[in-house]
Amino acid sequence: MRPAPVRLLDNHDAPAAERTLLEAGRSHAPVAYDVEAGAARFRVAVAGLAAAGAATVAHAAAKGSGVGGKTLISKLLAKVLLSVAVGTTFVGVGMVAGVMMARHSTQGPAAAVNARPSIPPTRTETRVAPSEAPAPPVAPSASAPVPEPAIAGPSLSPLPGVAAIKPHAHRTLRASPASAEQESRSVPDTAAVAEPEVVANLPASEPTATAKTTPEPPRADAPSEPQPSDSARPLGELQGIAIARDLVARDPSASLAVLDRLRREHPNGYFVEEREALTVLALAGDGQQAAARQRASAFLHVFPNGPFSEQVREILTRR
Amino acid sequence: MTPDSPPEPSASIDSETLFRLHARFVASFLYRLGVRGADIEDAVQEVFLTAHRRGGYRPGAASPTTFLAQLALEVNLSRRRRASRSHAADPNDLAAATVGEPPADPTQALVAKDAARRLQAALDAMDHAHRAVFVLFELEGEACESIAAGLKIPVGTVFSRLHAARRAFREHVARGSRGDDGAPRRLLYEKDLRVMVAKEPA
Repeated sequence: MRPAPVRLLDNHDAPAAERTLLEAGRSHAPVAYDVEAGAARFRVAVAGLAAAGAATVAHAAAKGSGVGGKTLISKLLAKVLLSVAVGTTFVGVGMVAGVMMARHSTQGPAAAVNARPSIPPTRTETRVAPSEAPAPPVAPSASAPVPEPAIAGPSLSPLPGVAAIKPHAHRTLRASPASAEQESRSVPDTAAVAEPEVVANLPASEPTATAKTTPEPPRADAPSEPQPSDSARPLGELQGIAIARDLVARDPSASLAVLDRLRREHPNGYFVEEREALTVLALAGDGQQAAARQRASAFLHVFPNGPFSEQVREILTRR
Repeated sequence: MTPDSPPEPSASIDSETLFRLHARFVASFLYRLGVRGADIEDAVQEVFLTAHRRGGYRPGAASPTTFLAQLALEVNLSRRRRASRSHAADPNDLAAATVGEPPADPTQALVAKDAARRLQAALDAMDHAHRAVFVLFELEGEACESIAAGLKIPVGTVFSRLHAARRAFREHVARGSRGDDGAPRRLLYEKDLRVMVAKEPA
């Protein structure tokens, strides 16, 4: 049998130039790799794989168990549940419509113009807008159950920023200033009501909560006071993904704004796959079907077998 | 085995532990195969997800390193096919990437950076299959049997690839140590480097 070769580094007859290069290669890693960040992403991806696998198994089980009376019972049960869900949806829509009509009648056309929730480009616009119409009464839909995001991925809720999203939003919505004037200063319009879900993850030192809950005497120079722009502050990539994921089902346009910002601030981030999958889902949810399909095709070209590929593929097959 | 002791070589390792133990190796190996920039992180994830899908590492003739090296080779090949464009080594990227554990002394850092750059240039000149064997044997210190088991090739093929890789390495180093006129190039000494460092603006 042929003897094993001797390593060049162990061979003292090897030229010094070769040994120098090999020693450098052994003693220094060519890239600095952040194992913790990589492990966090890996954990998310593995959880996504597990969720996708469970969904596939459940789907296969549902298909395979269509024998005898079980199928009939399950179909009946599904129909009953579907009808209850549809009924609940109609009631909910009716309540929201009623509240919207009431809001329209009390606020006039200015509120109607701002009725569509969207993320303003900067925080300055959100906070300062002093002479807008008074804030709308709080809609009961604010406490309605929020649908889960479309991505059946891993839970990101343990993130500190995500936990703050809903309480912050509710606090803002429920703020009840003493007078309409104070209210108009603290919560200028409906766009501002939608925005705090995005700013909720910014550092706690921000005076957002106190500014909105504690009435202050009006200041004449308030509108001209420069405020740091929201886009000037970097958004943590994982936090941004969590926010976008939370918003994708109930406010796709806001989710798209967050994802656009992530794309600008973390063009080569760790969560590109998650970001692009969420973009496809948000575009589809926002009614931009053509863009969603185009993006879905590109996504599947790059990530044909990823944890989000099935959901994205579903967008392509949707009519 | 005590609770604090590292996992025994024969014990199977769960996916996340495998990641934590060997992610740096996989990132370096991918870099040496020619993967650059943000692609490294994606490729590392792909390697470990592939390992996870295949049931993880099972102790045997292949070490975790050679097992992951084979997956890294597959992932790199697949990514190169997908990208359908070559990832030529960017000298700036190479210089910036040599930051694994930078020496405190700037002179030593410059020496190490220069050596790493020349080593990578020599590796880039090799065929991918030869390069993988060379890196695993010469830089990672893996045994030929383990490389053969990990890459799923006969030991004789490991020998022949290593032989070819060494020849390419020697030729490249010899070429690099001669000037354009064919005369031996004077190597950089520490005193030259200290002058270079002193000239650099703070």
